[in-house]
Amino acid sequence: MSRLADVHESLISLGLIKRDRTTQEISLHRLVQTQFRYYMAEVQQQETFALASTLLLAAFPTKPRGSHQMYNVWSICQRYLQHILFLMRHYEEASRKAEPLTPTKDFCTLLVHCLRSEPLC
Amino acid sequence: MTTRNPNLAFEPAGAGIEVPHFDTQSGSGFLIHLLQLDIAQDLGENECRSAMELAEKLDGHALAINTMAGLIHRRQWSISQFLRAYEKSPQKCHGSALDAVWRLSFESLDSDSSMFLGIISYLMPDAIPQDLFELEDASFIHKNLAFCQDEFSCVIHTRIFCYK
Repeated sequence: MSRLADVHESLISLGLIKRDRTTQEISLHRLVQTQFRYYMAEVQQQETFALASTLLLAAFPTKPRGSHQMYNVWSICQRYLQHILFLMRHYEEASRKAEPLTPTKDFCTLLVHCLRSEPLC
Repeated sequence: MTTRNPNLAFEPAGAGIEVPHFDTQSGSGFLIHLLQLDIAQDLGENECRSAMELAEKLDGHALAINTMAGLIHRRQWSISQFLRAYEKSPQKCHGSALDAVWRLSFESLDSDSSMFLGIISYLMPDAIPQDLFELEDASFIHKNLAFCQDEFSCVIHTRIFCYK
């Protein structure tokens, strides 16, 4: 079994996440998210924020070369847009704390790609 | 038996019943009930709105609502007053009661699971596409994402490195 499958099994058995077999989507309670962000040391908070940015950047479509439109990939953009907005919201909330998150290159690039995929944004 | 582990609904139990968390309306009603305000007269519009907002922030989590109701009752605050304090410092309001609910689970996580949970803690809590993590070349993106690498492609890469 893959390491990722082991991770899913571990978190599901602890009741921390759920997985929908039909949609292949994962969900978790907002309070689990909040409490885990409090639990993480600042180094891990920055690391996981950076990795979330990297993964979303890898998944979010970019504008095809020579094209001004992205309507053929809007459904993919839509899939990830809310996650990007949540990432951005957490970044803004953290900016009001004593130890704010540092925006990474991937995070900034992700926001640019998101803005270019208008009118979704 | 009651459990957070859904696997036990398969074995040893024969079946399971999932108890979902409250929706905002029910969560708000639960909070008001716990504070015995449902038998009070003239619960103001402001208090009702604050109860809804607090239930939404707690995402209908029964234990969290119960804990917050206890705090409101002990301090003899209005729901609106408590909501203002909560918005300033939710972590302080959660306190040791909620902290204890998940701390043992968090402490038991291995590094891969901790990394995964940390990442998804920054996303929308619902509808996280599983394929966000299913990367063929995850370790080339970042070493801490090596657990995302498909087992099959890991075998392929290993063979490539062996032949070089």
